[in-house]
Amino acid sequence: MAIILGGGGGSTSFPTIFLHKSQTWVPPQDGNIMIHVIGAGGSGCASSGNTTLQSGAAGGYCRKNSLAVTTSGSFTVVVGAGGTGGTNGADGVVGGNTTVAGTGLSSTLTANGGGAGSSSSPNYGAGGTAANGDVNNTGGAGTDFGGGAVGITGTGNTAALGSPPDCDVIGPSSLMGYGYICGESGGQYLENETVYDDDYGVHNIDSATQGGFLAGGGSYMANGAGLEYTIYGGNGGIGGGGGQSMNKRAALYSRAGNGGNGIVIIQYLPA
Amino acid sequence: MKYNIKDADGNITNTIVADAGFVEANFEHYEEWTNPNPTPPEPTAEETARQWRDSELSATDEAAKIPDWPNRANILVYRQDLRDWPSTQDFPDTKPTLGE
Repeated sequence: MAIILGGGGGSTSFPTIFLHKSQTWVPPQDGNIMIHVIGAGGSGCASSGNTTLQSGAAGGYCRKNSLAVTTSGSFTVVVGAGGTGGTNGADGVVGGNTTVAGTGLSSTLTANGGGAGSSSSPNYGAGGTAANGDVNNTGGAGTDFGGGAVGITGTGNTAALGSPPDCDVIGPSSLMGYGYICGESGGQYLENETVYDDDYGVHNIDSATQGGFLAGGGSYMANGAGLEYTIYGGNGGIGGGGGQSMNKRAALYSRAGNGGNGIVIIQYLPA
Repeated sequence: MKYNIKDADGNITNTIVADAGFVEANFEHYEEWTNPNPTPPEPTAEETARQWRDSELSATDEAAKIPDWPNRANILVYRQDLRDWPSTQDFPDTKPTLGE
């Protein structure tokens, strides 16, 4: 499956193509392209204990700045799968690696998946690395407060208290084109949050917020009285790490966020 | 679909998003992915009821501590009903109610 957007300004001469799953990709037209390769995010760890647990990390970011292609060329695109969030005290799962190889590339563009949150030391998920591009950035690591974000301009952002794991370049997707890509805001960290509902009175929110495109998911910490129903860490957006979840009262009712799948973005460039 | 890609020794080297045809054409060793983290159980009616009860107690904590809180006498009765509720036959289907 490929999703094609017209380039910035609505041009169809310089499309942006999103590849969400593995495939053999044949250029639809001759030209110069920029290739963005993004590894999958790792998932967070879930727990009921008092140990500090961590979220999943973002995948790496690899970019080929310019490559001449023709319709007779072809590329093998492998898209990594995001890790599935830990449940009932389980560790997270590392994200899959995303790669692109093919005509005109001397080596495989590689964006490795982000590490998983774990209950054993070191318990943070380390950001996925990248190799063989003109730009190779490491993803943001997971923290107590959320999954890591993909880094377009440098190492990806990490979450802190009051600072969600945003992508380092935030903007509307409508501006993507001509070699420019952008992400979205990360998920919010929650700790014993409550809301009011007309039917049930005051009750707890059961899920941290999810990360947007290329951003990490928020963490959920049921830190006080605890909850006897499932709380969820926020899922990472594409390439983002999943947030951890900690329910101190009930091990059975804690599920960390999933890491986002990887992606390959191909953009045709003006001559 | 997700697939685990393996080396010749059977070790998982990557997990990818792909169709079966792509995996068959490009990898020698692989398996269809299965979720290593099963979905947590849905809470039972009793668990949901206890969670609601705990929330109600938490929401009326302040009222119980302040002597001139409006309707405080009924709130105190309500809180005791909430505490007793799990041991009654009304639990978990019929919730205690706060008197006006």
